[in-house]
Amino acid sequence: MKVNTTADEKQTIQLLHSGSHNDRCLRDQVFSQPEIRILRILRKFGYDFGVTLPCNKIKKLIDLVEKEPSMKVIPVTREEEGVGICAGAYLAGKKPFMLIQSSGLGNSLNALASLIKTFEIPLLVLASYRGYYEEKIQAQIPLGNALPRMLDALEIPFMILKKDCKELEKACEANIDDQAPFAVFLSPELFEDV
Amino acid sequence: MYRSDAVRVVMEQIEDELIVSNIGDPSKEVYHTRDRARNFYMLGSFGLVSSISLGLALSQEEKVVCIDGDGSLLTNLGSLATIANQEPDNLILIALDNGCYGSTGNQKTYASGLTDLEGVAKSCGFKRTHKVRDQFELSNVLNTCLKNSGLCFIHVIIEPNISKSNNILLDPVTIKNRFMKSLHA
Repeated sequence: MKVNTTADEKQTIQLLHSGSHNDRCLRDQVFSQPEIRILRILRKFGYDFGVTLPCNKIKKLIDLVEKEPSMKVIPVTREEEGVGICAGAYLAGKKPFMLIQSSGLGNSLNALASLIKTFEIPLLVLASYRGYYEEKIQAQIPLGNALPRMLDALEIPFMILKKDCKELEKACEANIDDQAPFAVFLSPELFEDV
Repeated sequence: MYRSDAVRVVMEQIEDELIVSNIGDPSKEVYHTRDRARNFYMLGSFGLVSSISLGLALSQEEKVVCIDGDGSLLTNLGSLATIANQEPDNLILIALDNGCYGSTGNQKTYASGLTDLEGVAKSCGFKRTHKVRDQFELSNVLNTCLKNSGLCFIHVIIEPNISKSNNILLDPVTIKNRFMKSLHA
């Protein structure tokens, strides 16, 4: 049975929060969806404040995060703005993350360097990775190709999540210890139907 | 009224409120007027002072006073839409408008031309906006905003400064740590 998160959203949210084992089969199937796995890892590590800008590849994930009751989630107008909002939330004791498109990571580099790195603020940036895997939009390619080298130059650690969501836990662990930004590229292959 | 006059009025008026001040001369003037642990001085990321203030206001209950400028607001105009729509009731956004980039040599901004920042804030959805042109007005309006709950935008018309301010003698991590400590004390 295929579970459509958008159509069965209510059911999914209920399953996620109820802790009920009544329908184990359905629950397992829902929980194996990459979006749910990512959300559960974020919850497990205490991320409770997010900013979002849409990308078609992660629309389900953004939808889930925005409905997650343990998180305050703010849609922003530009990614750099989101970096500032996350910094302010951190000052007040929140654990912030961003959920954006990789092109917007490009828009945010100065803020990540001059605000997040300078003040030693832990910030997890989840970026839908465009220009990387079977990309159909040519304009995504130049920045997508260069981003890993740009992050290297800025000494911002990152990982590319391709198949296994569990890898995200390593980024979350590093993000606790480092008091610095950490970027996680979410490859489109992560969300492909198996 | 110069920026230093406006900053002095603000710093005399506030009590326990949290201050987030803009990069460059505004932060330096806040620092030299009344340094305190509850001031967060921005040192980079031009334009993001209102965004930092929003994140702070949405994440705790104490009042946040944001000291922004015209050039800085113009570079992050989307922030006004986000703030107005999120509408935290504990945020006062003060736009010190000298019509120029005061920290880099007083080059004109469009706020000195046809663009009215109070009008922009209104159009973005701010319900309470004020425009003040002297210290007395600023003091009165700020006093009202501090006493009452609700998101406010105060557009402060000032003259471009001629003098420069001295640097802030704190490193960034110290600014952050003492600010956070004062907030959680």
